[in-house]
Amino acid sequence: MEQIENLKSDLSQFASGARGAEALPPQTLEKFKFFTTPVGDDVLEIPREAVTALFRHLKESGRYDFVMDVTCVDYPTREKRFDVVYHLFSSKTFSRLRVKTQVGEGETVKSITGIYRAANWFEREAWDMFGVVFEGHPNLTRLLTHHEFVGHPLRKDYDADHQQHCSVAMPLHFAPDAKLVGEGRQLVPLNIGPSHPATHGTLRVMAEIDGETIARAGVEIGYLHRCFEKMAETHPYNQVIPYTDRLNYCSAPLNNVAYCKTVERMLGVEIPPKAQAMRVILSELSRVIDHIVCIGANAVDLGALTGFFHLFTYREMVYTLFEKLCGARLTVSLTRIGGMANDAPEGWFDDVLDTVKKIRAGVDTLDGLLTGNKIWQQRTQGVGAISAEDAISWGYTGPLLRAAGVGLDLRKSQPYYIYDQLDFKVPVGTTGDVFDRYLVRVAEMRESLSIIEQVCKNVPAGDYTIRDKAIVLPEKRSLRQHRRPHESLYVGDQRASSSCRRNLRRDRSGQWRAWILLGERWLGTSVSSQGSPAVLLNLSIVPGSNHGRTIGRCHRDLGFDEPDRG
Amino acid sequence: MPYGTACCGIELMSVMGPKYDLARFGAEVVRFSPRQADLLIVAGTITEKMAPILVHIYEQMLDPKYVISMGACASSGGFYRSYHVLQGIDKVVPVDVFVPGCPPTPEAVLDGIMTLQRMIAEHTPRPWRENWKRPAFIKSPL
Repeated sequence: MEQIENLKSDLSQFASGARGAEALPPQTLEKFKFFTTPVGDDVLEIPREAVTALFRHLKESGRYDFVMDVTCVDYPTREKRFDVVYHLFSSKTFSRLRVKTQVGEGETVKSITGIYRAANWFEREAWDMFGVVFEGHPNLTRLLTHHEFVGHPLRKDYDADHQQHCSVAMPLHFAPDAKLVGEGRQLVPLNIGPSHPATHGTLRVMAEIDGETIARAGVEIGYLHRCFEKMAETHPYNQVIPYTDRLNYCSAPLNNVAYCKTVERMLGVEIPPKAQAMRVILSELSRVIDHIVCIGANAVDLGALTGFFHLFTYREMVYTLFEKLCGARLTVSLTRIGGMANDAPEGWFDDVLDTVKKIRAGVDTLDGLLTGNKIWQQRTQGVGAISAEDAISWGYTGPLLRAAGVGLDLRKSQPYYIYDQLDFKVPVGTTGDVFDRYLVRVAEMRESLSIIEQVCKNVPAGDYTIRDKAIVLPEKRSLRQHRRPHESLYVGDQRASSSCRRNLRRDRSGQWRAWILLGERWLGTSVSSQGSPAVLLNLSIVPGSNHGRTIGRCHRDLGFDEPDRG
Repeated sequence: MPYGTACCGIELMSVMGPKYDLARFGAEVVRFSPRQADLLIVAGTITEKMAPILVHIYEQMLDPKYVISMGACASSGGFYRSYHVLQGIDKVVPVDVFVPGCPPTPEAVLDGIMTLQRMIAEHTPRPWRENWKRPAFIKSPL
């Protein structure tokens, strides 16, 4: 609330200044709508003409340095069909702002790529999915769907199961602004991925090489575009949870938590302390096993097989813990809206403590194996270094951002659940190179293990889920006694129950967003009554960063960018 | 040759890993070049964008060659009945063994590989392979 008032006065001050008056004339400023949603999100609605002026001001005044997402929402029956939604974040004040503007069919909106570099892929994605044209974008081509795809699939009038075959892999191509290092030499085109050990089946690097040196590189993603948003639109809230498992399959429970937390926020529900503790334990276990895959698999890519075999022993131990909870190993779907799917079996928390002890010893061994290892150091140090400013400008999050020296951790900056009662540090690197990313991950594994121990030794008593019949299904044994359908998220259409609906109606924006820190990046889940996508962005730097590097260095860098993305 | 694209790729790592150790069953060496591989394990969702690349890689493999489809997505598109997911890799390449699961347990993958070993030992007829032609909607990359 306070923020939105500040912003209001700041903008009117800006508009009354000499430079501002030209960019933001008073009649435009009058059309701005400022409001705070009932759950506390600050929203600013603007006319589309004001987009460039507003974002330039917000960036240059240092209020918001991150653009976390640019997306659209389709309202097919409205006169101006699309909402373009921008999510901004400040790494200094940790405040967020949602900016919305309405765009009709056939209308365009100015691109903000020149202001926020991270917006480049977001706008491409929004065009690909919704067909909203961003005027002035340097390369407004399809990002996720294949190059022969016709139409824009996240529009409401596109059928979810209308498949279009792709007849041939996209030819080697480069973005128009891809610089060529050392022109005039004879260059050889080289394709790296998507089926390549360093790209994990999801990413394709297109390069032109001069000997071992990359003269120019382009990147293509979307090889694992599995249409999560469209699937989420066609399923009830609780049935979306299995899809979230597969967003980042290396750490499924974290994704479950992120999604459920968003829906719970929307419904105005607080989950019980025991569920919070279980979610924190599962999140941190997931973070550890995510880092295990990252370090283990990348050590293999760099020629060290032992680390992989060693670390996977510990990953298997965590799988065993998950199996004890729910029977599944990898794709666990452990949370439900309102809490957990079921209670932990007897002795589970002791098992966790036991496993944590073993993993801690394993991490120490890994540390001894790699950190001081000359080969490992020389293959990772100085590769893929990035400054803190560049990392922010490219929209880095997670360990990659912290390795670059920005100590931003949502668990500290905006603590959720019980994180504010826990004692842990945020490891930060200095250069952002692969070695730093590795070190940050190892340190984070140790911190996570310590968090798990703190929580496990002090698990709150009580229920593992809320018991609101409108949200949570009753347990099976009580169902046998009362065979009466409940008005709940499970019955009928996707709409929430009467009490929740009241809450929803109060919220003018119709959109909710919550954030948690994932293993390797942030995940912001957006739920809107009409559905909207979220995309993750630690890779968009690849084309620019590869110019003039050798192929080997490119592989080393790629692995630690963690390209697995569902 | 592992063709890991998604969640199943991570479980395939477990199959190769120390606990399940595929090496015990007479298969161990992973080759990332199709020219050196005789078995293609497709582990993960194959999207429409990926399908021509999968066919290309299958065609690059030398005979005799075999395909295992690991998991629900590779076998049928899984629960992605959606605009960008191929509804089963058998639409584009001939599959010898389908391993069910989402993802399958490592035991199931081991069983799939042993099934294929048995099929090879017993000279099981493979009409799906003999009658296979590149699907009409996929062009030759050359």
